[in-house]
Amino acid sequence: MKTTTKVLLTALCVGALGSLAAMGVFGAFSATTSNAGNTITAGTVSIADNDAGAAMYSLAAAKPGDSVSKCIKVTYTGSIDADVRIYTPSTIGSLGQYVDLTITPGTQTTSTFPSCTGFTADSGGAIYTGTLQNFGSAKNSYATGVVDNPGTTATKWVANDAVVYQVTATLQSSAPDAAQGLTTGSHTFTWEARNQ
Amino acid sequence: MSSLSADRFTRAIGAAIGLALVAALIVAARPAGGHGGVLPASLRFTAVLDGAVAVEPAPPKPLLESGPLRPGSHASGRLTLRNQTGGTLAVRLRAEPNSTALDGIARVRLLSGGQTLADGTLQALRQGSAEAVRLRPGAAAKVRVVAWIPAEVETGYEGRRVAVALEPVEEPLS
Repeated sequence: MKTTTKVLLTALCVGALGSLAAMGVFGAFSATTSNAGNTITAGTVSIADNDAGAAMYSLAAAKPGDSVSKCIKVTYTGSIDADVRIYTPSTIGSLGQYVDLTITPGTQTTSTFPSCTGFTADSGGAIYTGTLQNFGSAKNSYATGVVDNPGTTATKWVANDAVVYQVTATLQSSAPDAAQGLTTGSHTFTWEARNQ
Repeated sequence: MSSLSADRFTRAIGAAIGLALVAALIVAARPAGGHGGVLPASLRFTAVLDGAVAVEPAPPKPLLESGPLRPGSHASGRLTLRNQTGGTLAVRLRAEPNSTALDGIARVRLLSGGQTLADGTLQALRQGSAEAVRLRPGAAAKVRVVAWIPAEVETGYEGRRVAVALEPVEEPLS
């Protein structure tokens, strides 16, 4: 047998064996299934008011019986249903014990901070009535805050809910002489939303 | 005319009618020319509430629903902004589309009281309108929103549906 023939026969054998091996490799049955397009997007909790950074009230040289009544509109724009509570994170000064505070939720045909023109209280009435000092000591965090929901039947805040709050602060007519010169100090009202 | 000639003539007429019917079927079945044969785009604008500025129509009611939008067609809607704060505000409007599908294709123009607040692509409006509406406490302004796909656009819009949140961005003026 010539050398050329031997080489050709060897190549033929290697090729044939390679083909058989390839059939083994590529000849397996196969099937797949998949589930595509999975995604998770977090919702939002977002609440805002119309004060544009201004205070609702600032009474200087208040006399017994002086009262101020202002309105603020709170709007919820988050995508997740939420609870909203009202509290103050501030430390109230010693005049607070002689200041009566009332917070009443309602609606207003046209809101312009801090005007209460056109304000209509909800049928449930005030959600807080007491002294400012008591509000500061009893309603000073989300955990202890006053719970309020829009209207009279809602159990949560949903996107685009809005409530107008009338806040009335009155220096008691019966404030004693000892109250002269005292101050409540600067205090903040906070509306905090948390998802349900 | 002999019977053979008449038969050939009848066959020729029949063949011609058959060919005409086939041609008519082919013409009727082909897609319409221009942009009529493809799915249109659509845009839906809804205002976003915030604490300082009230908007009307309030969400989720849309202020503009384009319907089928093809190159050369327009859609428009109106929005009222009202300052709820106790100070004067400069209010701009910023778009937040829910996808980038029509960003460089759709154009949006915002007009208020003869003033053009914005005129450009939807993408450009993501940065906010170039001009602002000045609103005194309690004052309101109407804004006309016009959206369209330019007639020269040939492709890239087909079947795309985009919801746009139009958000007031206010700045207090002293």
